Parts: sequence; structure tokens; C-alpha cells
Amino acid sequence: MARSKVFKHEERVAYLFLAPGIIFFLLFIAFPILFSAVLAFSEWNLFQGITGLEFVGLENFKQLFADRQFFSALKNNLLYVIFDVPITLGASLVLSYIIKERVFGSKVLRAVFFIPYVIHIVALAHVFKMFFNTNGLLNNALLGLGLADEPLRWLSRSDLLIYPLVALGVIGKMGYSMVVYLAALQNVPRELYEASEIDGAGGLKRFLKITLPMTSPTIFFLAMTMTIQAFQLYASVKVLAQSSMTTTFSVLVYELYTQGFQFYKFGYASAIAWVLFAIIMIVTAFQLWGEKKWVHYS
Amino acid sequence: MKKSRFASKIFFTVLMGAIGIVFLLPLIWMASSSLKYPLDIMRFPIQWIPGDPQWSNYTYVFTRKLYPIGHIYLNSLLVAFGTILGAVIISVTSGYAFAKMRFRGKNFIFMVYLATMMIPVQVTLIPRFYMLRQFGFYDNLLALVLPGCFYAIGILMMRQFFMTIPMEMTESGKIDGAGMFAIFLRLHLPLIRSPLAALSVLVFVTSWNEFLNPLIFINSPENFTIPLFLNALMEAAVGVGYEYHYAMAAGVVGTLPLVIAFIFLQHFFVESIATSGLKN
Repeated sequence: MARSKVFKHEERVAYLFLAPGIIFFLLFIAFPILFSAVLAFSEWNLFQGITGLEFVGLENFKQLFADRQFFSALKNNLLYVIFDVPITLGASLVLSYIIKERVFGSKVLRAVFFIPYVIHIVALAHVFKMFFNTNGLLNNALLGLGLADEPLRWLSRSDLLIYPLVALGVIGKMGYSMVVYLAALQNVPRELYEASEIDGAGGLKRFLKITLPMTSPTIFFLAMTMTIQAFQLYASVKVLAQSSMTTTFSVLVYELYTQGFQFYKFGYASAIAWVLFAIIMIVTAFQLWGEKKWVHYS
Repeated sequence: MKKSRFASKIFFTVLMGAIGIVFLLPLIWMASSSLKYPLDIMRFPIQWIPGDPQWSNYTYVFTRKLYPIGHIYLNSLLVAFGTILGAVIISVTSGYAFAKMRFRGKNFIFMVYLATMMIPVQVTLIPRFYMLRQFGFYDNLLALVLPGCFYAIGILMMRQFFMTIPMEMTESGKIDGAGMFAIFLRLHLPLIRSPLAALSVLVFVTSWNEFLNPLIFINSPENFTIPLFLNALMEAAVGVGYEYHYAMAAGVVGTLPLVIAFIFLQHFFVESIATSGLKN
């Protein structure tokens, strides 16, 4: 029948269009995921070839949960996420709101805040490294101003490293977050603000009752993507912590890299990757639940 | 404008300006330090304009035979453009199929694609490393391009866009007797300039910023991308001999072109990033 013939033709063309995507998907996503799942339950030194793969069941995970270094990395990662995302997001919201309405030269300001994002994270991290170095600028400033008696070892102490790390994360990402949020602010209908002015609502009330709910989808989007990225923290840690001799500060992806590409324990590293995935899933699920409760879609 | 409004605006502008300067400080300190002697860099109070600019710091960076800066820039650009090409082809074709065509398994495939966005890239890192190495792509820039071509966000963007084109256009094409492919080429394709530009910018930024991937797949300095160059030079400078001045000069060389490009193409960058966030 003519109708199903047209459908068949359309279907064939559709598959043709989908082909490149499907090929790349199978090659670089589907197959690696399956392979990675197998690896998580195996012991493998990849440089010995596929024959060296040894299936060990839950051994990797058992080792993982008994590994103090891993838990330290997990703790650091969580700490980082808890500080970095809310500070970045909160500051972005407030600063974006101010830039939107209350200033001159908003375009210039927006560019200024965006610049650290354009400077590569590696370069920015090295600048921070020099700044926070034990004989670096910050300590010299603190000593010079009399705010400290002796130089603080920001980069060599695991308990202090979190500060430069979070500072780096916030300054590096704020510009991006502000740009997205400013666009969302543009889309809040003016009439809402005008109506509230008639009702005599003050600035703060307008922010809480109009701005926040109307931009909540974007806030949620930012929170979700920034959290996921924060769990995948790597470059900052590698630059700030790696050559320091006295700290074994690590985060999840850094552990993955060390176990896999330095110790060649690729099975163990894959297990770490899957734990990372699980954590991200749990946190994202939690955020999606929050979305149902707090996010307003008109 | 009411007087109080005006005054409040001035106040906030100054306030934001002050905070903004904090954001510019890393760049300014980097530029200023790149012209100093190592010991002067850490000096407090900070001397913003060096009295005796050491342009030789830059000569040092440019003459590092081990890290040819021009070639490395080219590498980053090649990888970025290669990825853009691949990602655009896949995103447009797949997005179009999802938006405009009917076929069995449409929803299933789309759901699977979406699900992959949830999976962190680190999960597939090791298998990809093994696979690409087996295919002979280790230490090859293609290893950085190929996996990046499947860009789920891009497929999503293109699908959203094509869905906004009304069915009437497709219908009229069918009435005129055109096959699906012709409809695609003549009617729909010419419209995607704007979302295509946004997609390209996103892919470019993602590709340019990659660090873990190049770190793992690239070994020889002449195949480095900019992030690897920055890390190698800045790390070597600081670690070995407290050569902060060289590190800062390397930082400026590595990042300045993009900063300048951003300043001129601001509108472009910002619009793409903003709309990608809104589409969600």
C-alpha cells in the first residue's frame, strides 16, 4: 500500500541519518560502558593485553571500602561540593540580580566576571598555586599586614588545602553561572515586577517572591550541572596538590587517575569510576526530588 | 531617573566594580608578574607595573624547543575544529531524525542517548584508552577528536530546534514530491545557522578546556594541546627552580589569545552559553 511504502522509505532514510550517531555511540559509549562494568569486577594490567584480565568479583569494591586513602578522597570531594556549589550559585544569583538592574555598564561587568572562566583552569590554578604558596603572595601580605605570625602552609596541609581549592572553583566558574542566570533574569516578564511595585513591594520581597520562583528552573539546572562537575574535580587538585611533599590530598577522579595510570590497577580504577557514577546518581536523584518540591514551571 | 535611584545605581556600580577587580586580579597579576624577576613577584605590597620589564621572560617561553608554542596552538585548534565538524554532523543528522522523521525505536534510542548524559566521562575513560591505543591512536590528536563527536547535548539542541519548525513546511515539500533527503537539504538545513553557531561555540569551549583526556592520550610535547603546555611549563618552572617569572609568562602566552578573542566575540560566546542553559 502506498502509505506503508512511504513509511518504509521514511524509516530507511531515518536510519541513514541516525547511522553516524549510532556508530559513534556504540563505539565510544555503549561498548566502553559495558567493558568498564566488566573491569570493575576484574583485576587488569592493561599493558599486558586482554589475556591479563582476571575476574575477581567484588574484590575491588571490598578493597575500596577498606581503603583509607579512598575515603579521604571521598570526604574531600564531598567537602568541596558542599562549599563550592552553594557559594558559587548563591553569589552568582545575587551579583547577577544587581548587575541586571542596578548598575551602569552591565555588559562590561558581565565580561569582567567571565574572564576567569576564559583563562584556562590550568593557568588559573597555577596562578593560585603561586599565590597560596608558603612563600607566596598571600602569606607575604598576611605577614606584612600583621594578620599572621608565620606563613600558613595552604598547599601542604590537607586541612587548609580546601580553601584555595574552593576559591579557585568559585572564581573560575562564577562567570559562567552568571551568564546563564542573567539570561534567565531577562526572561522574567516585566509586568510581574511592575504589578508588584504598584502593590508597594520592596526590593527584597520582589526578589524572593518573583525573581526566585520565576528563575527556579535555571537555578535548578545550574545546581545540577555544577554539582555533577564538582564531583568530577581533577585539574585543580592535580595542580594545587601534586607536587606538595607533605599532603596526600586527593579527590575521586584523582584517585581514579592514580590507581589506573600510575599503579596500572585498571580494574580497581574502574571500580572507582563506578562508585563515582553511583554517587552522582544518588545526588542527582536527590536534586530531582527537590525539583518537584521547589521548582516552579509556568 | 529619580535622584535616589541614580545614587543607588552609582553605589552598586562601584561595588560591583570592586568585586569585579578581584576577578580580574589573577589575570592582571599574571601579566604583571610575567615581566618581573622571580623574587619580585611575591613581594608585598604588590608592584603592579614592573619598573624593569623583563621581556626576556617571553623570549624564554617562545624558544622552548621542547614545547613549540605555535605548533601547540595549532593542535588545540585542530582538535577543536575536528570535534566541531564531527559533533555538528552527528548532532544535525540525529537531531533531525528525532525531530522530523518517524521510525521504529525512535523513543527508545532517544532515551538511551539521554541516559548517556548522566554517565560521567570517567567511566568510559579506561576502555576508551585501551581501545584507541589498540587502534593505534595513542599520542594522536584524533584520540581527542573522535570520542567528542558524540555530543548528546548537541543532539538535544538540534532536535529541539528542528521541532520548532512547523510541520507545514515538511508537508508542502512532500506535496511538491520531494523525497526526505531533498526536504532536509533544501528546506530545513538552511535554517540552522543560529543554533549551529551556538553548538559550535559550546563544542569549541568544551574541547579547548579538556585536560584529563589530553593528559592521558597525548605523550609527546609536540602533540600537546594548550592545557598540557600550560601545565608542563608552569609546573616545570615553579617546581624546579622557583622560576615563577617563566611560569607567568607561559600563562600569559597560553591564555591571552583566547581572552582577546573573547573580548571581541563576547556577544557570540555569551549568547551561546546563555541559550544552552535556558533550553533546559
